[in-house]
Amino acid sequence: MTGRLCVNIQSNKQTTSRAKKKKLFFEKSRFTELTETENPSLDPKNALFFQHARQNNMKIANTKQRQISHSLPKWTDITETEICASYVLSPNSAKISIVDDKDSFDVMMTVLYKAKLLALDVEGNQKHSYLGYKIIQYYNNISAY
Amino acid sequence: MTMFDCLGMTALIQIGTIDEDFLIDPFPLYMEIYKDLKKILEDSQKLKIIYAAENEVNWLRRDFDIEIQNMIDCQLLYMLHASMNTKPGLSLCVENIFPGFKLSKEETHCDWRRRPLTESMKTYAHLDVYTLLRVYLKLRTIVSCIFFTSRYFLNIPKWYSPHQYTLVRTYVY
Repeated sequence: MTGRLCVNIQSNKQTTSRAKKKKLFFEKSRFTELTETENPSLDPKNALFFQHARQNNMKIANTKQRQISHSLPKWTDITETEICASYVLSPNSAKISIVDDKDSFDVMMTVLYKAKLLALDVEGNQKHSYLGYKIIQYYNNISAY
Repeated sequence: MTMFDCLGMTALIQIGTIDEDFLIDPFPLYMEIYKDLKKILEDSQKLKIIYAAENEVNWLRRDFDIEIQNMIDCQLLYMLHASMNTKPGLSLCVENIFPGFKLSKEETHCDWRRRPLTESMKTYAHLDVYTLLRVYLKLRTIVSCIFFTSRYFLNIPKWYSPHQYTLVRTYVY
């Protein structure tokens, strides 16, 4: 119904008032939002989501979102070591290992397979490329011979 | 594809866990990273914490074909906590979360391809990943406290966890 109204407005732009246009524009945008999702009331971005949750007394089991939250680690799964780590910042006592060969890589992998929480950072150069690096390395090797 | 798409390269990968931190040199271990580390970074059961993930995600995708799964951008979490519109650096975030601790950013623009790495480069790389994990853990407790109280007042369903909340934010922005 709202979709039809919007189409009518576009054809009769001169006749409708500005306020009415604005109101119906919002209705139209809402209409498109509703059509995008399978079950619009369960989409967290939608305003109807919270309304739906209240009306149904939050019994929203077996939905897509529920399945996703199961696959993710739970927010409450926090170990004692993690709690201690969040209050202490002593980098000097931390254990660092530099991984630059296959043996150290294998040791690292055993640790990483057990860990559930990983901090990841990458250092790199914005101005260079891996291909360029390889070419320079190749020419250096040639010149060495 | 332009010339600028090829620019930017991964020169060092840092991975931090609670017990131990690793500085990985990708040049001699290219195939190992491509085969083995890829599995870990694409494992949805392990939570990956990254700070300002734009470059990292692009470089890892291009150089090693790694699509990181189950990732939280700590920058967004901090912006949510501090209700900021601008993107803060890690040093500012660490200063606010752990008062009295300062991260030096002198080595940010140095040439990370050089080998062997200097001691200052190693400490910089290590501190980045070490503090990031601690910042996340502390932010998580703070944000979850706010979230649980707001859940009580706003009547948010229980299964709608802060994990998902942050993930939704990363997709929206």
